[in-house]
Order: sequence, then structure tokens, then C-alpha cells
Amino acid sequence: MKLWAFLLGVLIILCLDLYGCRSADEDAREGTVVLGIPADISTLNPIFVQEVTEGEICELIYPMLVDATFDTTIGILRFEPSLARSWEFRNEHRDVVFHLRSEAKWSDGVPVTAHDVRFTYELYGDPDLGSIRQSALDGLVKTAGGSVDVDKSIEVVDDSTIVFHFQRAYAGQLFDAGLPIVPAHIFNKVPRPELRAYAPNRQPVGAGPFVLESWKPLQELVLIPNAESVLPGPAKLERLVFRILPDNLSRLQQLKRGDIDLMGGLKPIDVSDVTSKAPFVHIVSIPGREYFFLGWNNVDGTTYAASVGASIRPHPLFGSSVVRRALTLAINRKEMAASLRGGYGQEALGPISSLFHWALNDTLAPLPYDPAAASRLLSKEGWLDNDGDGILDKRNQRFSFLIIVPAGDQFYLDIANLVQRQLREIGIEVRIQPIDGSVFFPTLIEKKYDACVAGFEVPLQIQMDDFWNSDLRRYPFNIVSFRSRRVDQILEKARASVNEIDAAPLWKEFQAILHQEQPCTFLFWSDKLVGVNDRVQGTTIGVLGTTYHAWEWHTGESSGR
Amino acid sequence: MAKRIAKRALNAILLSLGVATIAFVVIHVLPGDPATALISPRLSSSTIEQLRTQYGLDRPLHVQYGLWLWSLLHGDFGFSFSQQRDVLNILAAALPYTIILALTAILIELFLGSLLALLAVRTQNGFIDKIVTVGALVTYTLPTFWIAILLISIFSYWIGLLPPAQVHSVGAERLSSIPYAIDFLGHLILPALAIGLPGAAGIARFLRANLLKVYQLEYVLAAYSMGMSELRIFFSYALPNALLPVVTILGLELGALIGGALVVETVFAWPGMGRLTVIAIFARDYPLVLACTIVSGLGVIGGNLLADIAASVLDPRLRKEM
Amino acid sequence: MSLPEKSEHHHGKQRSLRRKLMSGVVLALLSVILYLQLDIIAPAFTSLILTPLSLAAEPGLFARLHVLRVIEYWIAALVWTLGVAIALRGLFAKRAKQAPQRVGATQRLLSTARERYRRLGLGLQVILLFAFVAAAAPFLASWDPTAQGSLPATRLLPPLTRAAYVEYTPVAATPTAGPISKRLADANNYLLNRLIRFSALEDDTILAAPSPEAMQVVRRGDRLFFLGTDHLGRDLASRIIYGTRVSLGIALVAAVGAVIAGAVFGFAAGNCGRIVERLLMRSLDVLLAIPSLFLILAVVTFLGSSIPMMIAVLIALGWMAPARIIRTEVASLREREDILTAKLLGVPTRRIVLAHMVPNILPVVLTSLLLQFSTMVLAEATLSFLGLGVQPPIPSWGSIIGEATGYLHIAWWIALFPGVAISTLIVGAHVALEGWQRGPGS
Repeated sequence: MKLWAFLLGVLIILCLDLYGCRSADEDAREGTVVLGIPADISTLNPIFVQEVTEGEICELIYPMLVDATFDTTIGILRFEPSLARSWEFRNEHRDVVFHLRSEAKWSDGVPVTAHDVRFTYELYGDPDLGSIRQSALDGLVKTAGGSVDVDKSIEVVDDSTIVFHFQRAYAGQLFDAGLPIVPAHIFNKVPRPELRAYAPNRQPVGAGPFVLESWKPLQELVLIPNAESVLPGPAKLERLVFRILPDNLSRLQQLKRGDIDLMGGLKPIDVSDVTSKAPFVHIVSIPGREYFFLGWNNVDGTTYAASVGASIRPHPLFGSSVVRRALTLAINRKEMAASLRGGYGQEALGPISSLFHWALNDTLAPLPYDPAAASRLLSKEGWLDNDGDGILDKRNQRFSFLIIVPAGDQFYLDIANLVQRQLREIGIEVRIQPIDGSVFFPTLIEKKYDACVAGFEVPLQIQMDDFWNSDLRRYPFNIVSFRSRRVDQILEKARASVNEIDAAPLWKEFQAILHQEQPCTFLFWSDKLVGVNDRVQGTTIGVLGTTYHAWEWHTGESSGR
Repeated sequence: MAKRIAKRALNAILLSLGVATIAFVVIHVLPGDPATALISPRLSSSTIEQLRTQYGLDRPLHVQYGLWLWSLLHGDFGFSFSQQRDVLNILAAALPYTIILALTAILIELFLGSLLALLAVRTQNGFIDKIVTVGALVTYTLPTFWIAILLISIFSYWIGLLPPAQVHSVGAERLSSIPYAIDFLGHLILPALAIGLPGAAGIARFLRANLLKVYQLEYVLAAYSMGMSELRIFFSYALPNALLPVVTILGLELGALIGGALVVETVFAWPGMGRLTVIAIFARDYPLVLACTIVSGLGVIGGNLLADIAASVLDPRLRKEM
Repeated sequence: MSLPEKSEHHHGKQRSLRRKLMSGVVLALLSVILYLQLDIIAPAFTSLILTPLSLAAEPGLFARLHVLRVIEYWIAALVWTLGVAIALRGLFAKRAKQAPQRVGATQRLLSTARERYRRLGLGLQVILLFAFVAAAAPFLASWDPTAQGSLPATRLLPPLTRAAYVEYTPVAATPTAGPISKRLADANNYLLNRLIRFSALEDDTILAAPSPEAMQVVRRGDRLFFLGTDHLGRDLASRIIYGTRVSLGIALVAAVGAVIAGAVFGFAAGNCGRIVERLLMRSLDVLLAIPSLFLILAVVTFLGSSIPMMIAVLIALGWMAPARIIRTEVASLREREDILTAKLLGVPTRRIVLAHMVPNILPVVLTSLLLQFSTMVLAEATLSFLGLGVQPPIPSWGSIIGEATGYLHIAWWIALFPGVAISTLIVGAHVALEGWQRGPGS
């Protein structure tokens, strides 16, 4: 019985201390902001960055030539000076001359020069390093062999002047020139093959408004202001803490308790829970970055994969645009958006986000939910229930197919379940197959599938080539295998426009064609939801990310616990 | 006996290597590799190939195996693809958490189980005995993940007393040592209970049956008739006899838990070996997966060894057979 | 001499009364469910009875009647009839002939034996109850397990919520020839289309009514969500009932498979020479040391997670324990006097094995079976919980709990009830195991 008394005593002390801990914490939190993130980051070297969060943190630590902002009224990216105090376009907009600020210094005191910029871009473009940002150099001048010629394309005039020579003008020149810059004097000390394991990857030397104070793997990462920074200046916060909390529910709980101040990835169903139980938390919704769709493989995947892309035959079920139209009509996308995303989802019409106001085709509206019309279209195409088993058939083939979803994410499974149900009501049998996440995209690229549920995140400048170009071999991400000569022409013309907005009529026509052909069934756009404690002020959370301009953040009154 | 232990230890290492080799083959046969996990529209296929070369995945399988084995024998577990640092560091960070969780769970099983068994035996066939027996039966059969979920629902969401996940509260590192330790304990209790409760129930049932059997043994009855005190009989005869199989079971279980109590660690986001293994498998992080498999194998085999040693210590009859 | 314990006669009377009471309760329950679910039970019996008639009278149309897909309703109907028959027999059977009175030690021995067999019986009854639920699932579940209703209105409703609903069925074509075939086809179509009937809640602003050409209204009503709904608006009670088939079925098949595989291995290891035995047991050790999740993940990723695959994986992970136990038993049997004598006398090995070893192994095999069964139920639930088990839309107890983890803070019922089901089944198996192990002769 003494054991019980002991255990009880421990429990009591525990409770008292847990409650005591919290009130002690409050004073220590002045000037500190805590973000809850779901997974640890692997590196703080922008060359090797692979995930979104580590990219965002690198942008707080390292200098960049330009600072991007998004003009939400029109819907285009604009660029402000950062490391470069000014720039000019020369040679018919093909060259960009950047004039660097001379007072920028690395946190070890060495000045930031144009040599750092050039060295960094050499690293980005080095095939042996395998940076995922390599594609940023695609627009630069190339050698005869087709690879990027760094010597010719990035020219160091002097310590504070650098010129980027592009092959031709395009809208994303400044975007591609604005990658985070790393210090040459630190990273040229080791041979390239050893760069990945090099210590400064985890103890970065930067010139931005933040520096790294400490990083406990799998637990937390702490940034503090860089007192010497002039880009644009030291951060206003005392500490910015990234707390690694893999469990979604416990992150939510900590947000509600005020233990963390920011949390991304909120689910709509949690919003009412948060706002009622934690009135000091407000929700920021970021629309139009992510959309979900049902991919119908327009070509026969088996013959395509077997012939390695040589044999392209229309898919027996999805090859016809009438059938695809019927499928879209049979799915209640509006209700799906309402059910799965609450008020934070909008029915989707096509792949062009509502952010880009200038490019939207206002004459188009999403197809209605009309299963009767869907049935009529299908019977016109010859799909009837001849044998009375409840499933449509045509020439001895049943309308039954496998739809693949990425495993491990309940959201995709929910979409698939709803689709399965609704299609069954017009006589189509859908079987669901979850596929392990790491082989999901390879399966789609190799076209070894019939139908899929997938989602894409769109960049801040319209880029459609990868997804809709007819050259299936060259653009494997055209996973629905859509082919249209007119669309190819549109894409080529759009690529060539220097000002984004000039391509508006092209994009409007593009949307009209897609609306007519229905290459896939666009479901809905999903807002990203971020929960923010009211004590964090000066935030500009939006399409450019959660930690955008985090150097402006400061803390106000208490968290209202 | 030391020679025998050494022989068994060598055996254990060889067995682990066997396990690791099988794991090597299996995971390379799996479709997908660390590079394919990164495929996205913004990545060209040549980049994927470059990454493969970087990770040494373009070499033939037996070459990769040889290289890996060679570095392993030098104590180098390799470089993790997904976390971009040495595997040894990652293991060194995760293993203590798993060991603490495992030990705590085992302790709960031992003490709680023994307590309940003793209670039941003392009030044989009485009300408390019936409660313990039935309760233990039910608890023993509950799925671990369900117990974990119930504990979280009750203690974290309903009562709101204990945290539902992770190892520390936010800002805990700023606390002084005793509150820090108590914060850690608060996070440790629920996962340890999730593992320990069914185990304790099992031990309670088992021990109770064993104790009853022991009290029927001839020499114990003889001791009773000779007038030996109840307490002495209990500690010299009943307990060691009944405890022996319990210790064996616990040793085996400790060994198995070293690999990481996967489900509990996932539900509670406990940063131990189990969670590490799952993350590594999904990321196809070959070096990390192999290292986790080796540690897990060593744990199981080590647990076997431990159980045998403990058994022989408690039962002189077994010492010869070792 | 102690006071005589209650007489055999008295025990017999008590047991008979208890049996009558239980039979009466069972019969009452079955009748109530018959009344509530008549719309499904009637066509099922119609289909069952008319099919052989139709085959005899109008054979040509048989191929169009999709007999195979209606079989689950036939099974449910047959099991139902069986249940009713057993309950009736229990209610009306005459009391068993009186056993002669016994006193003293014999009686005590008999009553303890009865107690142990009673345990075995109780455990087996629990398992049989679940088997009944699994077989008669289409009759017992009031909603289809995949019916989602109108989502925003039906999701995450707590237990005992009432809901108004409208039930549609597709307008299906039926063969026109033959009176028997027509009725049969109508019944069959009704049953087949039950699983896609659009059961929606009346909510004018959200519900989009299907067109009258495609769907016709079957009924409107007011039904109870007994255990609440999950995050997609599906009735939890129906999902748990249908989940019984998966969990019970997989566990049973996998347990039998594992025990058979283990028995073969253990037998071989126990009977062959020392070296072979050592080799086999060593390989067993290695296999046991491999982390199971790792293997499961590998298999599931590579070969998909269909039901046969899951069973194969479970067997592959579960055969080792029975193998160990059986090998030990065989090894000890080898040394037994009667077998050694038989060997010395020159009796052929096969005869020794069949006549002496096998009967002695059977008790251990049964123990193994019960143990493996409870392990498999748990293993299947854990795998489904992690998302590696049966795939949607087939419900499994484990996957229901797995889906619930994201909603624990607002919907406790989704995780609670499937767990109760799992626990009850395993407890039943364990009670049976306990009873068996303590039975006389072990």
C-alpha cells in the first residue's frame, strides 16, 4: 500500500508542477514567437533544400538579390530590392545587370560580393550536387551541348556588379535570379563531393535578418536577430522558435493552450473548435495555391508503358471527351468542397488559380452536378446496362476501373470514397487502391494507371508547360496524357511573353479548351489555413508563405491564456 | 559461465548480421528509392539520376552490399538520406528515448502485475480476486493502439491533465531540473501505461496461476506443516519459483521493445526507434532502415540472452544447461 | 462428512430453465430484427427459394440473374433459419434424462470438470455469436456500411441521433419472360442495389435529388444512428457489423493456416535428425528477430494489400509460434515409453506417427489454434489501424479506429465501439482457451 501512496504523491506533485510550469512560462515568452511544424528539416543549406519549410527558413537567414511580393489586386509577382539595390534590363531584356549593396556583410564579418552570387549559382547548377533548384538556371545561356554555361551566363563585373545573361527574355527572369546566396569563402573550402556532409550546412553563416541560435534535431530550431544585417535590418523579435510537433492533434492542442503561436495545416473542421475554445487565435486563410482533381488517363496506360511511350492509343474508358464530361457531371464537386473543406474550398474550373485575376476567363462556369445528363451522355456513347447487374457495359467491357490514391493521407481517401459512391449511382464501378507515397508520382509519370486522385500546388507565376504539353515523353508530368496542338501553340507563345499580363488572352483560350475537353475532372481549390495567436503582430501571412517577412513580426499583449 | 555468455553474444551478433542482410535484400527489392520519393514537377529526371549517383544507388547490388558491410564493420553506419546527417547520431538520439520508455513499461508491468497477483492470491476467490482476474483478462486482450487512444481521449482531451504527445512541453528547456524531469515524466506516463497495462495484466494472471501452483508444491506444504512463518515461505519459496517465468517473459519483452514499440510511439509521437523505423521505411532511407533493423535484431536477441541469464541466476538447476 | 452440495437434480433443473430463458430471449431478438428489417429479409428468402425453382422451370434465363453476387444474402438467410431453429429447439426440447446421483469426491471432480468445460463452451459461444453476426450481417445492419448520406448533415453525429432519410434505388431493367424468373429478378435486383441505394437525409439546401429517370424513391422514414456516424457520415453500427466479417474471417483463415504450417514444420523438426532440427530452429530464430512491420511494409508495398495478401502475411508471421510449441511437444513425445517400445518392436514409422503421435498432438494444436486466433484478430486490427490492412470501402474494426484518430477530440465514439468489439472477441477466445487448457486430460 505504500507503493500506492508513493505513486499518488508523485501524481499530485506532477499536476501541481504542470500547472505551475505554464504560468512561469508566460513572462519568458515576451518577444518570442513559436511556430509548430510537423517534421524536422534536414539541412540549412539552400542548395540541398528539399522541403518547403527548410526553404522558408533559408530565406530568413541567407541574402537574396531581390525580394518578391505578390500583388493580390491584379495577381502578379513584383520584386523589390534586397541584396541588389537596383537593376536594369539590357540587350532586349535578355540581360539583367544587378548593382549590389556594398554594406551587406556575412555574419562572420566578410562582405557579401558578386563572387558569392556567382559561386552560389555554380553550386545550384552543378549536376554532381543534384540541387532541386537546378531548373532556375534553365533560362541562362547554354553551351553547344545544351548544359548551362556558367562562365558565359553569369558575369562578375566587379565586387558589386553582376550580370545575368539569359537566352531570351521571359517573365520569370527575376524570380530565377532571386535564389538564396551562400558565402563562397566558406563553401569553397571543401571539395564538392563532401559538401553534403559539411558542417556549415547545419551552422549556417548568412547575411539575412535572422541567424541560427540553436538546433536540436527532431525537437526545435531557434533563430535570433542578426544585429549586423542590412537586408533590410535585424529582426524585431527576440527569438523565433520552430517547434517540431509531428502529431497534428497535439499541435492543435498546443495552439489552443497558447504554447505555440502559429500552426499551419489546420483542418476546416478544427476551425470552429479553435475559435470557440481559443478566442485569442485568429485564422488566416491562403486561397488558391492548391487544387485537387481526378486524373483520367486519356491514353491506354498499359500499351504506353509497355512500348516506353512509342504507342499512344486512346484509353478504352477515358479516351473520349464526352465520357470525361459525363464523369464530371456525375460528381457533385460543390458538395465535395463544402463537405471536405467547409467554407475553405471553392469548386474548381481549371488549373488556373483565382489568384491570377488577369488570366481568368469570366465567361466560363463550372459544369453543374447533373447525374441525369451524365447518364444520357454515357448512353449516347454506347454505355448501357445490358446485363442488368447495375454496371454499365459496352461491347462486353464493364465500366469498372481502379483509382489510385497516395497512401497515408486520409484526405485523398475521403475524396475517393465520395467519388466511388457517386459514380456507382450512375452505374460505374470504382475500386480504390492506395499506393505508397514514394511510388505514387513515379506510377503516374510512367502512366501505369487508369485513374487517380491527386493534388498540385501552383507556383506564383503561371507555368503550364509541364502538365499540358503534348510531347508526353518530354513532359512526363502531363500525367493525364492530354494532347492538343492548339494548346501546345498557346503554351509556346505564353512562354515567350516578357510581361505576364500580355499572355492573358492566351490563357483565357487555354481555359476554354480545357473546359470543353475535360481532360481531367477538376474538383476544388483548397485554402491553406494558418492559426495565429493574436499576440503575434505585424504578420503578412499569405501566398508567399507563413514566415514571409518574419523580420517584421513583434509580440503584443499576452496570449489571453 | 562467462565463456557461454560470450559464445551466446557472438551468436547474437552473427544472427543480427543475418537479419540485416535479409533486410538489405528486401528493402532494395521494394519499388521506389530515396530519389523517387522526391519526384515532383519542378524536378527534372536528370536531377533524380544525379541524386541516385550521389547516394551510390546506381552501383550493382552486391557492390552496395559489400560497401555497406565494410563500413559497418568499421563502426560506420552510413549517412542518412532523409536527415542529411550520420546515422549513428540519429540512432544515438533516438535510442535513449526508446530505452527509457521500454524500461518504464517493464517496471510498470513488473510492479503492477505483481501487486495485482499478490492481491488476488491473498483474497483467493474473494471479491477482489474476481475483479482482478476478470479485469486482467479484459485488459490483457485490449489492442495496444486502442488503449493508447483511450488514454489520450480520457487524460488529454476529457480531463486535460496529461499531454497527448511528444517528450516535452514547449519551453520546457527553460525550466530548472526538477520541474523539467517532472514535465518529462508527465509525457512518459501515458505511452508507458499504454504498453505496460496489458503486459501487467498478463503478468498478473500468469503470476497468480503460478503462485497458486507453488503453494500446492509438496515441499511448500511440508514447510507449512513444519511451522515455518508465512512470510518466510513466501519470500524463500513462493516468490522465486513464481517469479522465474515472469522474469523470462519480461526479458524477452524488453528485448522486443528495444526495436521500438511502433504503434505506441506513432500514436504518441514519441521520438524513439519505432517511429524512426517507420519514417525511414517510408522515405526509403536505406542506411537508416538497415541500422534500425540491426538494432532491433540485437535487441530481440539480447533480450533472449538476458532472459536466459536471469533465469539461470534465479534457478540453480538451469545453470548447468546454459 | 460435509453437507451434500446441491443435488444433480437441482443443477439439471436450473440449467434447463436457463437454457429455456436464453432460447426465448434469442428468439425474441431474432423476431424483432425480422420485423425491423423485413424489407431486406423477405427478398433474401424469396431469392433463396425461387432460385432452384427458376433453374428447374426456366433454365435459359439463369445466366442473367447474377446469382453469385446474391450468395451473401442466401448465407445470411440460411444462418438466420439455423439460429431460429436452434432457439426453438432450446425452448421446446424436453429436459435431458436425469443423470444418476453422485456424492462426495466424484461429484466434486465432475463439477470442476463441468466448470472447465463450461468455460470452453462460453468462449466458443462468444466466437460463434460473432460468426453469426458476420454471416447475417446484411440482415443486422440497418444502413449500408458505405452509405454516406448528405455529408455536411450526417458527419460526426453522436450515438442515438435520429435522422430523417429518403431512400432511392436505381431504375433497373429486368427480364420480361417467365413469372418465376421475373419475381426472382426483382428480388435479386432489390438486394444488389441495396448497396448503392442513395440514402440521403432530407435537407433541401444541401441534398441534390437524383433525377427520376435514374432513381426512384423507395421509402422515406426516420431512423436511428445507434452508435453515431463517422467523419464521412457513415453509420458506425453498420460498419462494425460488416467489419465483423473481415476481422473474424481473416483471423480464422490466417490462424488455421498458421497452425497447419507450424504443425508441418514442427513435426518435421521434431521427427528428423538432430542436425536438420538444429538448422530449422536456427532459421526460426533469425526469422523471429526480423522486425515484423518491416516485412509487412515490404510485402504490402510490393504486392498490394488485398485480403488474400493480408492472410498470407499473417500466416507468414504467425507460423513460428505454433511451430515451436509443436516441435517441443513432438520432441517430448519421441521419448515416451510407448513410442520407444513401438519403435523397438519394429512398428513402421508411419503407423507410429499416425496412431500414437497425432492423437497426442491434437490438444496442443487446438490450444495453438485458439491462441493464434486471438493473436490474428489483434494483428489484423493493428495492421488495419496503421493503414496497411484491408482497404476501403471494406470496413475493418482496425481501420475504423485508424480513421478516428484525427477526430478523437470531437468524436470519441468512433474509436470506442470497434475496440469493444475487438476486445470482446479476443476475451471469448481466451476464455475458451483457459477452459480447454484446464480440461481433463491436458
